[in-house]
Amino acid sequence: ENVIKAPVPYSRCAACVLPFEEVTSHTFESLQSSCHQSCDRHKVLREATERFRMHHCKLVFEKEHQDAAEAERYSTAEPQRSCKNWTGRSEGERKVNNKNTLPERRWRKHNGVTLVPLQRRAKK
Amino acid sequence: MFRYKTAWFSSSVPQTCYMFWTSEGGSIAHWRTADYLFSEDATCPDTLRIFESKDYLWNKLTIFHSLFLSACEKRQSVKSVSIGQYVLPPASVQDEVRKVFGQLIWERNNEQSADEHSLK
Ligand SMILES: [Zn+2]
Repeated sequence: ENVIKAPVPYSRCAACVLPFEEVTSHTFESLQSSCHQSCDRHKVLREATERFRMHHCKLVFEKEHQDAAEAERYSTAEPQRSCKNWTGRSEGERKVNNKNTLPERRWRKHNGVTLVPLQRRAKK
Repeated sequence: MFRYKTAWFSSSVPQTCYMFWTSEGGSIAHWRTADYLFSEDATCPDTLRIFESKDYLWNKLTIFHSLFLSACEKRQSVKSVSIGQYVLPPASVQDEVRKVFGQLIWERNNEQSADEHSLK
């Protein structure tokens, strides 16, 4: 009975042993991504979280795109302008770069498009 | 233990965790600026709002399970508890992890400490 109850041994990675003092809610993700030898648990957790983020980024993108298209419909000037800065950097990306953490490149690679805060431009 | 650190607490976190944090010198801040975000329930509306925020999606915030604080309180130390084992992901991510491992790391840790308790 005791044998069954004993915890299954598993490998530990850097994320498994990160001390409280060395990590915050803002740095955990980049610390984890910079550790190349994730244990199985952190690997699965990371990949699943990344899928969640991509899926929701897509939803946000689609929503903003829709909002911008709506705004375009009501505006007569320069109907093409929302495409001009298509590869412009997103607000989120700039912030991340400033903090010197991982940029959004990974995300962009997967999707081939960049999230642009279209709402802001639509207001111009 | 938590002096000079700031935290945000979801309304799902038990009062005891919140009180432990402040009694050990920790202070409270808005979720955008707090050093640590704690929640107990990924489906709680205030936590869900963070999961769907651009801060979470782009800037890669991490929410930790408040069980971390319970573990610290039990051991009267932050040194022997690794916060990296207390990541609280969105509910759909939890389901995916459970499909592979049966449980999340903090669920396993919690069970173990419950076992320790019952041995005493
Ligand atoms: Zn790990």
